[in-house]
Amino acid sequence: MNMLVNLKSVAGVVERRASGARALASVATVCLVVLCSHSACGGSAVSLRNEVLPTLSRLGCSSGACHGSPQGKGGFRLSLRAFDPSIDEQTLRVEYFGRRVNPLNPDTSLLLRKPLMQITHAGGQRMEAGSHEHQVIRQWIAEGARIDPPETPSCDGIQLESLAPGELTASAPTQQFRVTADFSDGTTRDVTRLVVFTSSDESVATVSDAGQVARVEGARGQTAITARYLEHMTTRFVLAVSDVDGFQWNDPPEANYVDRLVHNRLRQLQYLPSPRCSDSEFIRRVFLDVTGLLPTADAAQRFLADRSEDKRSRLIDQLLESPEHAKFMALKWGDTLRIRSGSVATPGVFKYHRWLVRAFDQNMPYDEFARQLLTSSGSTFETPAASFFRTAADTNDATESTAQIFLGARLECAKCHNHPHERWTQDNYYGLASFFTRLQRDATARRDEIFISVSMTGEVTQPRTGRTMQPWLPGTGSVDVPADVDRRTVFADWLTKPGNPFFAHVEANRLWSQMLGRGIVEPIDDFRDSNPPSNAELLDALARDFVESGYDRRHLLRIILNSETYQRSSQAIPSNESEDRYFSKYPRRLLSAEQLLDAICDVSGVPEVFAKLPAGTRATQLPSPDFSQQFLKVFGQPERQSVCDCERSDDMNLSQALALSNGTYVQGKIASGNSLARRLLKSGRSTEEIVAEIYLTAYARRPSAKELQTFLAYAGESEKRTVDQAFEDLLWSVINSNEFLFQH
Amino acid sequence: MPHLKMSTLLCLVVALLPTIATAQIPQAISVEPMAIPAGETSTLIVQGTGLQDSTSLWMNLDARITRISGAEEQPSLTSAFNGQDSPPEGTLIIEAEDYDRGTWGKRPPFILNVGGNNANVAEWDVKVAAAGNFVLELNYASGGDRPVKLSLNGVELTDQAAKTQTGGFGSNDSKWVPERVLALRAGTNTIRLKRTGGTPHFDKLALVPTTEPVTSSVSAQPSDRVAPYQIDVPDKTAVGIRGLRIATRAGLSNMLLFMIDDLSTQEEIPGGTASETGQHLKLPTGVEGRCDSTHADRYAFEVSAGEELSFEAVASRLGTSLDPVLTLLDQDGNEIAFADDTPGLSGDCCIRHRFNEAGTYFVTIQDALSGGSSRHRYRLRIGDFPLLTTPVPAAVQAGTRTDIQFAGYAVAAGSTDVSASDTASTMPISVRFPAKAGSGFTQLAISPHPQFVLNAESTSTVPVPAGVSGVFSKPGESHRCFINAVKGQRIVLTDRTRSRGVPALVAMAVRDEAGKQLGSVRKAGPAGESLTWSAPRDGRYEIEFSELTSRGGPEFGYHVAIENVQPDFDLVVEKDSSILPQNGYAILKVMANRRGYSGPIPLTVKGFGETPQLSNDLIADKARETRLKIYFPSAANPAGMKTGQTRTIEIAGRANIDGQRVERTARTIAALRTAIPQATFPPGELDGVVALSIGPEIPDFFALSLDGGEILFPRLVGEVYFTVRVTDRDKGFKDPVALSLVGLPEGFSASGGDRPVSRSDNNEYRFLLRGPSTIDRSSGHVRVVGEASFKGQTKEVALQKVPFRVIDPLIITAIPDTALRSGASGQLQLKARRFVPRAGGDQDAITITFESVPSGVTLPKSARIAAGKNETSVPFLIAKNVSPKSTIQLTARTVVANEEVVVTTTVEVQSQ
Repeated sequence: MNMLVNLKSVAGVVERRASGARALASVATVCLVVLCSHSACGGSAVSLRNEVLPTLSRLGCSSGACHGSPQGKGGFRLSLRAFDPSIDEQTLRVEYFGRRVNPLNPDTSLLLRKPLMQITHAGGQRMEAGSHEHQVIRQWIAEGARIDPPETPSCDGIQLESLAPGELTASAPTQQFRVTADFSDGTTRDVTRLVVFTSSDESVATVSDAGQVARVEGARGQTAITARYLEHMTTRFVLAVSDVDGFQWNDPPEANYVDRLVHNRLRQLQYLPSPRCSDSEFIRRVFLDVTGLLPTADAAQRFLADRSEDKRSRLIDQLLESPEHAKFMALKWGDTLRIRSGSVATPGVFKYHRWLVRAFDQNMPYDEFARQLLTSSGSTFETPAASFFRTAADTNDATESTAQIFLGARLECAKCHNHPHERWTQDNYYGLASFFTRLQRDATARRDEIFISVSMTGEVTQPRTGRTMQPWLPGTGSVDVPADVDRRTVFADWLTKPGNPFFAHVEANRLWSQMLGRGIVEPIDDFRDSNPPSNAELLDALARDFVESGYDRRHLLRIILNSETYQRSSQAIPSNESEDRYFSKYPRRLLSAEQLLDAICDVSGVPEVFAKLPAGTRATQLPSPDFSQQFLKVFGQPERQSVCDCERSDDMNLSQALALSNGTYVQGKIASGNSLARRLLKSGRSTEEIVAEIYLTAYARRPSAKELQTFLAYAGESEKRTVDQAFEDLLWSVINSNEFLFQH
Repeated sequence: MPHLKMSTLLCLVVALLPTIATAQIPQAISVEPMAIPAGETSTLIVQGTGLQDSTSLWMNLDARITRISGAEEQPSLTSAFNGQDSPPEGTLIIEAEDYDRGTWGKRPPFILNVGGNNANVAEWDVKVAAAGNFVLELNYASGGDRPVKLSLNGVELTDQAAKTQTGGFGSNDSKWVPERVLALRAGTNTIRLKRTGGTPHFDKLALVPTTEPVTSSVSAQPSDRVAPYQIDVPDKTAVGIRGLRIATRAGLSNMLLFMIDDLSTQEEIPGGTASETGQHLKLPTGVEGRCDSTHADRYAFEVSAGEELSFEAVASRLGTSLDPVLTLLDQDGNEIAFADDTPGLSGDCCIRHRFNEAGTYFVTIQDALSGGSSRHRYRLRIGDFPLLTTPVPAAVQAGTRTDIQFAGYAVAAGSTDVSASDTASTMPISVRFPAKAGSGFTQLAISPHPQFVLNAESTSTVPVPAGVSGVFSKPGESHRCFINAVKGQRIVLTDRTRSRGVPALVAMAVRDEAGKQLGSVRKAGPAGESLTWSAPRDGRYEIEFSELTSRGGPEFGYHVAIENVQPDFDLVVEKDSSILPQNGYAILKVMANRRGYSGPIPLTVKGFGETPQLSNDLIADKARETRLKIYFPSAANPAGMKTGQTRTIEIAGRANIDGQRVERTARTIAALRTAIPQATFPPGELDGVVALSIGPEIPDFFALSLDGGEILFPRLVGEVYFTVRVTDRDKGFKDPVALSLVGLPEGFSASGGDRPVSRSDNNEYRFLLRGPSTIDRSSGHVRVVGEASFKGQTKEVALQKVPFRVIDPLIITAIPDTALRSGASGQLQLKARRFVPRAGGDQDAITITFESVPSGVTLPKSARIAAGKNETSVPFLIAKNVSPKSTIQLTARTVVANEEVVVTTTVEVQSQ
C-alpha cells in the first residue's frame, strides 16, 4: 500500500523517516510524489538486492579499497560494488553463523554497529544513526534479513535527469539531479538515495550523495555527473560558466567546422583563442606533427619566402603525401600494436612494420586497416596483419587489446568483476572474449613463423558463473554466429559499421591527439561515461566526417591541420592562460624521444647510425625499439609491452636534463669533426650564414639581430676560444633551449 | 728381496698418439653462378674454405662433372683483321660504346675509365644462332700494362685480358688483339669486361668463327678457397633446385643449393642497380646479384602493351640469407605491384603482372630485414613463365603415366606426361608456356597408391589407400570424396601439402551417411596435420577438404593421402652426410618413429653397389634408435673407392609386419633444414639422401685410463662406482666422449659413461656398475670403449682386456711402519676398504685374526677395526731367527648386507 508518512526534505529529496514510504519533491515545487511503496524493490519488505546492497555500495563498504577488495577487510568480504549479489547474500546472512545480523535485536547487528562506530571499525563511521542508509539496513535486518523472493523485480536501467537543466552559473550554482530506475515489473521508481554519484572534474563542480551538483566558485568548464545503481550507470554533462569581466568574443576567423565547434565551447566558457602562429612556428610544428622531423633549413627558407596565401595548406598536402609521414605514423601504430622482436620475432618486426608503412603510404581506409588487423589469418610473415593476434597471445589479451585500441575501453577490471567505474560487466568481458577464443596460433616449419587460424569449436566460460558465454556486442547484445563463420568477421562488421559509437570516435580522437598533443577524450584510450570528451560536439563532428570520408585518415588530418585551431600560437593570452582543455591555444609539448634524437642529428649535422639498419634510417622511422639506444630510452621511448598510449613517458626527469646538458651523446654530436657547423666553415660560409643555417634548422627561423650580435660578440672573443668552439657552444645552447626541445 | 704383497695395481699407460690429420674439412660458402642451364657445358665455381685439392663435386643429378685444374695455356692466335681485307664470314663486330649494361665512361670512339670509378664494368649481349667456338678479338689502345677481367655468361675467364700494349692511348694506337677462344651457346651470351686498375681504351669487340678448341680455363684458380668445375647437364633436365657438395681428401663439405634454369644469366652491376635509372635488362633473363642494406637493387626493362610477365625472386630456396622483397614501379617510380613472402615460396616472393602500357618499368629487390652482405644473394627470374606451387595431381602412382596440370600464380595451360619412376619419392618437374622461354618449376611426389583429382563438384568414391589432390580455386571452396569402409576399419588422412611448402593448409572432416561428423582437424603445424578415425559401421563415408583459413585461388593446390591405419614405422637419420675413413667407420644415428609396430627393424644401406660392412644395424624390439656403423672394409674394397670419393647412400629399414614386408627409407629432412635453415622446404628429392665420402685413415685423438686399473665388483653389495678418464686429447678436441662398457657378464649393466662429471672438464666419467648381489667370486675381462667425433670424423678408442673381478665387499691391507725383517719391531697398520651400497648401510666392526703366524713372530691374536672406521694398528716383533719369506695370514670378518664376509690376505717376511 502506498503511504506518505513523516517526510523530511533535504535539498529536494525526500527521505523515508519511517518504514513504509518514500517520496521525492522537486526543489522548485516541493511537490511530493510517492514513487514506491515501502521500498524500491516493490512489495512491503526491504529488498536486499535492490536496496541494501546499493546502500552498502553507496556507503563505500563494497568499494575496492574496503570490503569489496578480493580479500575483503577484517574478515568481511563483499562483492565489488555489489556485482555478485549471491555472494553477498551468503556473506551477510550466513557466513560465521550469521553473526553479522541479528533480526531479533537489529540494533545489535554488527552490520549496523560497525558503520555507526558503536564498536571499532577501521573504516570509520560510514553513516549516521537514523539516516536513510541506516534505516534501510536496519529495516532489512528487522524484517528477518531475508533473501529477495524470486518474483522480486530486477532493474533494467536507470535515468539521470536534472530537475533544473542548464548551465551552472553564479546565479544558479547548484542543480538537483534525480535518478529513476526501470524495473522488470514495469514500474519506474526513484532511486536517488540509493545511487552513487560522482563528478568527473571536481575542480568544475561537485556532487553530493543526495545528487545535488554544485559549481565550484569561479569555475569554467565541463564535468560529467555519473550515477551508478547496481551494475547500471548513466551520465549527464554539466557545464559551469562564469562571467569574466570585460569578456567580449572577438569573432576569430574559422577555417572549417573544427574552428566553429571549438569556438562555440570557448565562447561558452568565455575564453578567447590565441592568435595565429607565425610561419616559422607553423612549418616547424607541422613538420614535427606530420613527419616527426624538423624541416630542413632550405625547406624553412623556401616556406618563409613564399608569399602565397595557400602556402600552409599546400605544405600540409605535401607532408601528408610524403613517405616520412607514413613512416612516422607507422612508429606511432608500432607502439600501439606492440611491434617488437619479443612478440613477433625479428622478421616479423620488419614485415609488420612494412605493412604499416605501406598502409599509411597508400592511405588505407581505417575500416579496412582495422579489418585486416582483426580478421587476418595465415602466416604472420606472409600476412603481417595477422601478427595482431600473435602479439595478443591469448584470449584475454586479444579481448583487452582490441577493446582498448578500437573501442577506447580499458576492460582489464571486468575480467574479474564488473567494471567499478564503467558500464562494462564481467559478462560483457567474456561475451566479447568469445569472438577471439577460437584463435589458434601454431608454429610452422619456418623458423619464427606463427600461423594464425580459427577453430570451429571452443567457447568462453564466465569464471564466476560458469556459464558459457555467447558472443556479445556493445549496444547489440548477444549474437548468434553460425558455427562455420569466423567470429572475428562478425565483430569486425559491427566495429566498422558507420553507426558504431566507438570506432570512428576513437580514431578521430587519436588523430586529433597526435596533432594537438591532447585528446578531446584524454587519455585517448579511456573512453567512458565518467571521462567525457572536453568537446563532445567537436568529437562527434570529426567522427562523422571521418565516416563520411570513407575512414580517410589523411582527409581528417587535413581538416585538423588546416583549422585555425591547429594553427594557433602556443603562447597564452591573458584570457586563456589557465585553459588547457578546450584548445584555445596550441599545446606545447616536449619532443618525443625519436623526434628529439632526429632533431639533434639534424641540427648537429651528424646522422645517427642504428646497428643492423641501413644508413640513413631516422629514429622516427625505427621499426621497433629492438634497434634503439640509450638516449631514446632516457627520453621515454616505450618498450612496447602494452597497447596503452601511456607507455610512452612524457615525464621530464633529471636524466634527461643531464643527457642534454652534460651527456656524452649530445656532446659527441656537437663536437664531431663532421658537424654541420664545421662543414659549413670548411666550405667558406660566413659566420652569419652558418648561424642562420643553424637557426633555420633548429627553429625554422632566422636569428634575430640581437641573437646574431650576441653570438658574434661571443665568437669574437678570440683569445678565449676558436670559432669551432664558439659554434660548439652555440649548438649546445640551441639544443638546450626550450624553443628547440619543445614542439610549439 | 722379500717384500709385502699388496693389491695388484694395474696402470694402463697409453702411448702418446699422433694427432689427427690437420687437413681442414671443406666448408662450401657459395657457388657462382647460382644457376646453370641444362644441355650445355657450364662452369661452376664453389667458394669456401678447405677446398684445396678438391677431389670431386657431388650433385643430385646426372651430370658430367670435370674438375678444372687451373688456367691452361691459351693457344697462340692470329688476328683475323690484320692484313685481311675483311674478316671471315659470320664475324660479329660490336662497338664498345654500345654496351647493353655498364658504368664505363664513353669517349667516342672509346670506352674508358672516367672519374676513377672502381665499379667500371660493361656487358654486351651477343646473340648467335647456333652454338660454336669464336675467337674474341678486342680493338683497343693501350700504352701500359692495364689488364681487365673478362667474363663469359657470368664466369670469369681471366683477369689478364687486354694486357697487350699497343703503343699508346690515342685513336691511332688502336689495334685488334685476339684474346681467346670462346664457346658461345645458341641464343644470347653475355661478355663482360671489368676494370681492375688503369684501363685500355676499348673501341670494338669482334667474335670471329673458329675451329680452334676451347681450353677449360677460368680465372679462378683452384685454391683453398676456390674449386672450379665444368658441368655438362643433360638436355631436358628439369628446371629446379638441386644440391651439391665438395669432397676433398679430408672430407665432405656442407650442402649448397643451386638451380638448373633455362633462363640465361646476367649479373648485377653493383653501381648500376643503385642508380635511379637502374641496370637495364633484356628479357627474359635470370639476373644474379646480392643485396646490400643501403639501397634496393633496381633493374629497368622494356615491355610492350599488354605483355604479361612473371617476376620470381629465388633466394631463401637457394639457402641464401636474403629474405627478398620485390616491387614493380612504373616509369614515374610509382609502385604498381609488391611482394614479400609469397605463400608457398619459403619466404621468397613472386609477382605476375600484366602491363597495359608499353614502356620502361622497374623492378627492385631488397632484403625484407634491411640486411645486406655477400650472403644476401638472389636469382631474379623475369620472363613470361609459369609460377607454380604444386602439380595436380601432386603425386603420381609409381610406374604410371599421368597427365599433369599445375597450381600456381601463373599456371601453364597445357599438360605434361610424367613417367613415374618407382625408385624415388619426389622428382623435380618444370613446364613452360607454349612458345615462351623460361619454365616454372615445382616437385612431383611419387606414390605407390592410385591418385585422384577432386574439385568443388566431385563426388568420387576413392579406394583406400589412395591419394587425392585438387585446387581450392575460390575462397571458402571445399572438396569432397567418398570412401567405403567396414565397421572398425581405421583410416588416417594425412595432409601432404604443407610439408612440401605448398601454401594451402588442409582442414579435413569425415561424416557418415547421415551427415554426422566423426572427426575433423583444423590446425596448422610444422608439417601437414592428420586425421585418424574409425568407421562405426559398414558404409559410405564423406570426406570434406577445405582450406584452413578459407583462402582460395589458383595457387592453393593440395594433396592428401588416405590410408588404412596399420602398424608401421618411419626412420630418421640424424645427419645427411658423413665421412667414412679408411680403416674406420662412419656412424649415423638412425631413429625410429614407431606407429603400432614394436618389433625389430634391421637396417640396410643402399648405394655402395655392394653391401658394406655394418654393425649396430638393428633397431631392437621397442627400441627407438641405433648408432649404425658403416665400415669401409680394409682388406677388400668392393666399391673400389679411394680417399676423397663420394657416394650417395640411403638407409632403409625393413620389417615384416602382419605378414607384409614393409620398407622405409630414413629421412634427412630435419638435418637438411638444420644445415640450410633458410630453405624451409628443401627439394624433396634430397630427403633421405646421405652423402658419404671416403676419408683418410684417422689416428686416435684421445686416450682412456681407468682409475685403479681394474674393475672390482663387490658381491653382496651389487653395485659400485668406478672412474674412467679421457686423456691425451688432440689440440682442439674438447668435446665429451661417449663411453660404454662392453663385454659385461649377463645381468650386469653400467651407466654414467654418457656424460662427464663436470661439463667444464669433459674428462672424468663416473660409471655406476650394477649386477646381481648373489654372485660368486669370479674374474674376467671387459672393454671400455670411448667414441667421439672431431673434425668431422668419428673415432672409437678402447681399453682392451680390462680386468673385471667379482670380489667380497671388503679388502684388507697390512702396512708395517718398518720393513718386516728378522729382528724388526714396530706397528702394523691394518687398513680396510669397505664396499657399501650407494644408499649407505651399517658398517660393522671388522675382526682380524692373525693365523699361521710363524714361530718367532709376535703379534696379538686379533685386532678390531671399529664400526664405521677403516683402520687400526697392532704392534709386531720379529725375532732374529725368523726365516725370510715366511708368511702371516690375516683373516678379516665382518657383516655386510646381513651376511658374514670373511676375507684373507697374507704378509711376507722380507729377507735382510
